[in-house]
Amino acid sequence: MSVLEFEQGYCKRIRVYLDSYVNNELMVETTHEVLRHLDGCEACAAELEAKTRMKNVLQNAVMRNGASAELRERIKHDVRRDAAAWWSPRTHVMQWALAVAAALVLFVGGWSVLHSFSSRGPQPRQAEAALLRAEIPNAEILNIGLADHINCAVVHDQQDKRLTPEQMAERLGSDYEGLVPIVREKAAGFEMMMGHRCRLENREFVHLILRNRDRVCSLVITKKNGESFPADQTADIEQATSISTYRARTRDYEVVGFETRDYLGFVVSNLSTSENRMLASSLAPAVHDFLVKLEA
Amino acid sequence: MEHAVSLDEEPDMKFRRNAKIDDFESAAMPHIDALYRAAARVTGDRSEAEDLVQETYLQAWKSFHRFQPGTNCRAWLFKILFHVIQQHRRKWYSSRGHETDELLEQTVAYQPPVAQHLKDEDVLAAFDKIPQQYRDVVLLADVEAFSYKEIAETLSIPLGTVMSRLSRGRKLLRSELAGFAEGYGINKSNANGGGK
Repeated sequence: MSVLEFEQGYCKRIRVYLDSYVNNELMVETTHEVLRHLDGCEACAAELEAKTRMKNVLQNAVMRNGASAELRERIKHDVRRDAAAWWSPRTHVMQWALAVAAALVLFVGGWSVLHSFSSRGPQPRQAEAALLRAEIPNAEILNIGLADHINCAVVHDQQDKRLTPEQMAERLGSDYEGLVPIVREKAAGFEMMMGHRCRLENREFVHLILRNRDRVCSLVITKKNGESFPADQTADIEQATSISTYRARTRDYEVVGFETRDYLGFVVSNLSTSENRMLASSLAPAVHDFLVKLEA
Repeated sequence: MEHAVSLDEEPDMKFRRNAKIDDFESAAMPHIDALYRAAARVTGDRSEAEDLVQETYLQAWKSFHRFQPGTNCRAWLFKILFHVIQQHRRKWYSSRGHETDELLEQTVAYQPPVAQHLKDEDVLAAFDKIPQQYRDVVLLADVEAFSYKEIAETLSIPLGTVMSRLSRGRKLLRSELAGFAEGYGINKSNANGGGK
């Protein structure tokens, strides 16, 4: 073996260590071995310099970005809202109330089961609706749509049922059957599972349910009962679409609301904020136009 | 309609709640820039990165009682972040299908246009072309300066895998940058060279 071949083999061995050397991950003895070699080997020293420089260039490029002030505020708001929900006396009272209610359900279970079989559809869940209201301060109007999504799509498992377009049209009735093709077109990537009319807390809803695997989305429409989105909720108003929409998030659900003269509309889902916003920006304007024509 | 008016709280309860929030914010919030940077590089989408970081902080808050003061809060938050990212990747892959490693490897062969200087956007563009499993490790090691052990724990992979992915990831990044790196001297040494 010539001297040159020996040195090249040694360089190869040292270069295996260089990545770990850059990250200060070598044992002391190995570090000394690398340093001794670098002292006398320009090629390996240059290789180390290249690796270090590339690391610095990458670090500098990535480090320039930081979190926005809005994101910081969103997170602080999330934490305070969650803390308020868990620490407030109302929650403790409600937890006790729910525990008592659960015990009562056990005692009268048989009776309840028999009667639930004879009931004719989703029943209002007052306690659940109250919890939902507490979760979105200053956006109670959005809870109207959220409560129907939870109650109908989630609690009563309507998200798992699948109707044909004809069945949906029949259940929606002549006024709202025109929503079926609109929603199918605008909600690309989602399957339309259900279109029907349902009732919660003496309020009637037009409800269409969309699904993509575990992602569930509802378009919920209801006639106004004196409600209107408050004008001072500027923080929640999005102007990305041709209509004003209002959004809020609970721990598990994202809600976007919009309105016409006579109707409130909601896009509610378990999607992320950006995904639900994107879906709503496609759905809401078309549904808004449909409802305006209906009002004419 | 029932209104979301908060009830008056007992002063002691309010004090304890606020103290806990203060503890969490003083421990966790200083790391938000690092988490956001990592999420933005991993997803390549600012809005999605914000969602991921928001979800990470909410999960961290909910499990803050398990965090031991004095231990590495930054590493703890990154572990949660990558757990959240992993969940989102599963959703993303299941709904859209995912690129195979072969396809991703092919994208690395793309040579960027020759540039006089390495601009940040060039570096980031090159970095974004690296397959995800290598990108995660290079990001944690070279940008966030985590140790191999911390990276292994954050990504739930063996230590040896961290080392091999870091080495491979750096080579891929260097290959991406090769077309316009000469001016900065990043690629000036010959990878095959050696000898005194």
